[in-house]
Amino acid sequence: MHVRLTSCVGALLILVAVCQEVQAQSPDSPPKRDVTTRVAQASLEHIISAPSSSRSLDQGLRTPLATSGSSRTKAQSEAVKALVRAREPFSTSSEDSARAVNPKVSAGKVKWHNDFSSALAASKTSGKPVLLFQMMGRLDDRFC
Amino acid sequence: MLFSDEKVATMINDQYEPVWVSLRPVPIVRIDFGNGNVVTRTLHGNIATYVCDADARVIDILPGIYEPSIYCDRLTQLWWLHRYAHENRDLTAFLRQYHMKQAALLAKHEEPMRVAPMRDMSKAAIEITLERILEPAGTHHLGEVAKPLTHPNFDRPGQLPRWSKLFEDTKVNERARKQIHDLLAAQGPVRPDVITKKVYREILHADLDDPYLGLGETLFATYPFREDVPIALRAK
Repeated sequence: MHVRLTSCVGALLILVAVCQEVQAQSPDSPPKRDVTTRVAQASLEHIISAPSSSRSLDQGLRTPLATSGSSRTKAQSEAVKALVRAREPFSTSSEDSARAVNPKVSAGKVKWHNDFSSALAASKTSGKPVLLFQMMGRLDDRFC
Repeated sequence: MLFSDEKVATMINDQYEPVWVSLRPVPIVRIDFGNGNVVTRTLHGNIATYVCDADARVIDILPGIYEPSIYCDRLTQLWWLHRYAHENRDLTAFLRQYHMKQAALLAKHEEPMRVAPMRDMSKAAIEITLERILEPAGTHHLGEVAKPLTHPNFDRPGQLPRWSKLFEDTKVNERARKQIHDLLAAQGPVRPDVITKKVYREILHADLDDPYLGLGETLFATYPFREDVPIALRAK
């Protein structure tokens, strides 16, 4: 019973803190139609694209509710911070995000030159023609 | 996939100085169905293989994706074309004639000629003409490919390259080479960057100058939440 009550109080504290944070961010602007969606998206993006941050979010939610006293308050505060961080879409760099969505892979078994100029210079020496492979995206990305 | 194939990679490494260049990010569609069920696909990605000489002049172009063995066959033909063009007295005229001849055949829905090694190359004084290096494609225009698979098992090595859809794409791209030949016959041996946008816009149907690759109208014209519509497209 004590554990369930503590959990409920903890969850309520988190919810109140998040609501306050949302209101404090834009007191004059009208509520956006998709705040909930954006929070959900931001959280999901955060979890997917930044493993280290998602771990802190995960730890932040689990640890505080199982502790007591001042450490519980501190842990709850950390959990709130983690949640707030998670709902900020720009808290993760776009590069990290892109990397998570489109991870690096091998560009195959071809020995590629670094750029067109290098290939042309090699062609002058070897007499071989240049094979220029143009593409959208990158050959060393999984999705290209 | 293509460049992970041992035969393709060996052929390219032996015969070419290869380089890949990214023209722009590839559009990626990601649908999150929730509960960890996410589908990620590329949208409208397209490729082109240019064969150039050391002075960055385009010899010929293969537009789009090819079945690996046909890709190797075409690259081998273009290797010979590159060689003969440089042994010819007038590279520009030689290539222009080659592209005009191939375009004319494709316009008549006939198979283009194959570029084949001359049998008597030991006679150094012999003049290299198109008649000497081009031969009819015959019945093996699309090469000796393994029987295409309608439902390949993608978990089995070697089955993806035999996917019938890849073979169909190859056939479509071979027909699109008529436009390549027309373009190169008109332009002459140009640098790739001079014609890249034209190749993508008119032959591969992807306008590199359009951030939405021509899909903006479709995506936003009837989308009611205007604040999510890019400003440039809202004004239209």
